[in-house]
Amino acid sequence: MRSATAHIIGTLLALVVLTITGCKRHCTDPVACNYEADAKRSNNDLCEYESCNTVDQAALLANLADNVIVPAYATYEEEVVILHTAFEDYVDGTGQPDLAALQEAFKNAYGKWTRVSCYNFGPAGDIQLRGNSNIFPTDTPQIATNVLAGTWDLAAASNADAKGWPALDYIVGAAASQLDAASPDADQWIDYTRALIVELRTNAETVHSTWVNSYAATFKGNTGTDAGSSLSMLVNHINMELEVLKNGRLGIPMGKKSLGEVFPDKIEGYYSGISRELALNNIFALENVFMGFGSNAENQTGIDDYLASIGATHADGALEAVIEAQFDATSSQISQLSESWSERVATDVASMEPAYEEVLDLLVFLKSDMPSALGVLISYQDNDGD
Amino acid sequence: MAINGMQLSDSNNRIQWNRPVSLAPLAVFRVLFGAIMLLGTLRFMARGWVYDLYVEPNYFFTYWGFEWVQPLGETGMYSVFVAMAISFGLVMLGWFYRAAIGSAFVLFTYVELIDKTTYLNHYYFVSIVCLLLLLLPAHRMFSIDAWRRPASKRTQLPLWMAAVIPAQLGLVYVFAGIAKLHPDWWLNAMPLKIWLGSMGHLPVVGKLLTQEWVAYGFSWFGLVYDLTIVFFLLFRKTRPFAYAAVVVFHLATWLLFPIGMFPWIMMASTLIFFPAAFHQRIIDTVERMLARFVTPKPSAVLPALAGPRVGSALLMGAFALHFAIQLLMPFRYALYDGELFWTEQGYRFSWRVMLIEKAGAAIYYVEDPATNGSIEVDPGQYLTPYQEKQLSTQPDMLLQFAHFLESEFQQRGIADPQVRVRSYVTLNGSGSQPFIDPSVDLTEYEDGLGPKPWILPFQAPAMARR
Repeated sequence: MRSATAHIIGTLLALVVLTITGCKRHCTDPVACNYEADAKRSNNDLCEYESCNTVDQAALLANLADNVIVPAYATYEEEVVILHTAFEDYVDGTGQPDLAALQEAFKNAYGKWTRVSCYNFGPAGDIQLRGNSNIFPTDTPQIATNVLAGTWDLAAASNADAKGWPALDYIVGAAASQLDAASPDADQWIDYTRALIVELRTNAETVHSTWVNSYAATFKGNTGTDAGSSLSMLVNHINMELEVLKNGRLGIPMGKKSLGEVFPDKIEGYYSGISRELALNNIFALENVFMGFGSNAENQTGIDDYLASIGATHADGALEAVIEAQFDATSSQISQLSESWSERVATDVASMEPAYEEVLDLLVFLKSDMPSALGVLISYQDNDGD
Repeated sequence: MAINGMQLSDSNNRIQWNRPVSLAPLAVFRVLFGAIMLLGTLRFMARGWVYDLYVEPNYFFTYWGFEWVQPLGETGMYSVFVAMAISFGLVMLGWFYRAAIGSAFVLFTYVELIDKTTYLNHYYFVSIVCLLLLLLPAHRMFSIDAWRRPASKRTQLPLWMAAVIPAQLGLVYVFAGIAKLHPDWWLNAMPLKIWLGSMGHLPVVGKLLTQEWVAYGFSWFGLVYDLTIVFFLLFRKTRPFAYAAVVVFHLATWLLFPIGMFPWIMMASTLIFFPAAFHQRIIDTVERMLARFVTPKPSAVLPALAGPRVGSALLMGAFALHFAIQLLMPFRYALYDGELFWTEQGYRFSWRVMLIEKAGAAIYYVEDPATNGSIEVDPGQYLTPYQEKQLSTQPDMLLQFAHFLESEFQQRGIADPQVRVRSYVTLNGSGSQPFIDPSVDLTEYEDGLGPKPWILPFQAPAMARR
């Protein structure tokens, strides 16, 4: 009803404008972005070559869905399937078990998880993919209890931190010997580990196929800036993911929430020592969706281009350039840290401060400047703009 | 002077404030206002906002001086809204009118006072109109009260009473217009440039709305509209065009912005500027239709004038006081230093509508001076996203939340916590800037009417880009 009314009013407005502008002079330079092919009268002083409003939301959403998000899920699913195969190869008892291959497959797949974790809406939101995949630190006594009981309910809230990637991190890292045939409870450990991998795999397949089969179209068609629009959800979840990076991956282990008391064992990827890689993958995922950097390794239409077409600014320059520079500064500081963060947190937490500071600065841009410039709303409440 | 075809002033051009005028416009206003507010209340409930805004949050941002206003829990809040809907329904019908409008005023104002997160100018407007209606005899005709007790029916009221609602409407528009004289509005087309700029996805109109000149056109039209509409509504010759402008303006805002019931309230309210005969025709038509179902009770020859029997001077004084406050409130910002849109000192209750696009990010640090240890707190841990958004850009809320954290962490064993906030805000596309002095321990300051020296000054951006 409302959009129909908007349509009618829009048509009327457009007709009025067409009538007024119909006899105006036009730009006839084909290079200009406001080139009029069938212009009757020319005036090339009117030509615009920069800052034309060329990016529309539909193009942005289409590129993000087709070239960024869906391929990221495809890769994630692929790696989880490879992990599943590596696991079955490892435990099937024939040939020489290759723990290194299993651990490698695990690291690859976990890394791809932090490339999709920021899209926790739509199909992922429906099955609470983040909560079912990556609650850390993992509860090792709960894992042992489940294994020894021989029965478990992975959907139970009490098992949220006894499954997913952090639990696998523990099992293939610190508890891998439990999977050996020589271990007394090997069968239970294998069953439990398999259940964890199968849950991750099923979820990855579900989310990926739902995106491919239906949600990508929904996502692309859901233009607008209200609280339920694709752009608003995306901006919101980028920020939620950045808070996971700030708090879960960095702040909590660094003692930011505990009067300075550090928690080396609360680091993501604690047992496999891949905290830096996970965090880097995570920041790259956020940067990719911002830049529209897709699976074909080309920088295509992203939020940055949309900001450029809107003409958003910051005191230090064009907003998209400022944010891109901040992404680079953040990933650069993170990449300068050593691979495993638990020891660093325990012995030299101050050395992690520069990376943390960059994340805080990035948070300001993404939480304040970006939503404001995009005009996205975070709630459905009435608003008179005060 | 003659307005609505009525001679209002004597030969010396003094307005005769006691001159009797028709009660019909006020009675029709009462019916429309009650009806829209009934619908608005039902809509609010249907959208689940009672729960989202008054049940779900764990913390509420009360107003200075009204800290004692607290929500009543889930059952309590739903009861309040049901009672509010019934009250507005009774106001519409004019049934137990004084009790109904009094209860509508108390309940609506109570709800608004619970959490300043939800402050909207049009909620403030509704509270004021309820209060004014409580003091006006809007139920003495075209009402169930007048039908049940024919002896109470009146058809006229003194001009000074009839002028109250139009005067309030005039104030709203004119002050909304004065607020738009800010250079950001008419020189930079802000914030409309941002809001319209994000509408490129709309079919057909999208391309148009993102044009810069359209943002300027909307800004200037809005400015002139607000400043002048009341004057054009006052006079017979301009009124049809003025009302057409009212409809176009409010429909456009309703279509483009999530502005809720406000456009409908204003489109209905401004009908009060139409002549008494117009309203009398509406009343006659409705009463003719109703006459098929109910027989009007015979009434004796009645006095026409519904004037106050007693306390007329008191009532006049009350209205005079109200309008004096109304005239001064929007200017209180001048008592504070700094950019009003940035500090928001004296911003609310001043009919400043759609003037600022503001967003921010705030992180708190609770520090224990005994150990020098620090705890970082994301406000989102305690607040709803809507509360957090409002908090991030409003200094008094940022201060209130600092005091909340102080008591929260006292309970957790820090004897004398210091609370600082690292906050950034972008205002009308300025780009984010430091907002609150991060070195200040906010627990040292109490909320109040005094200036807030811990707000950092706004640095105006050098030049807009596009």
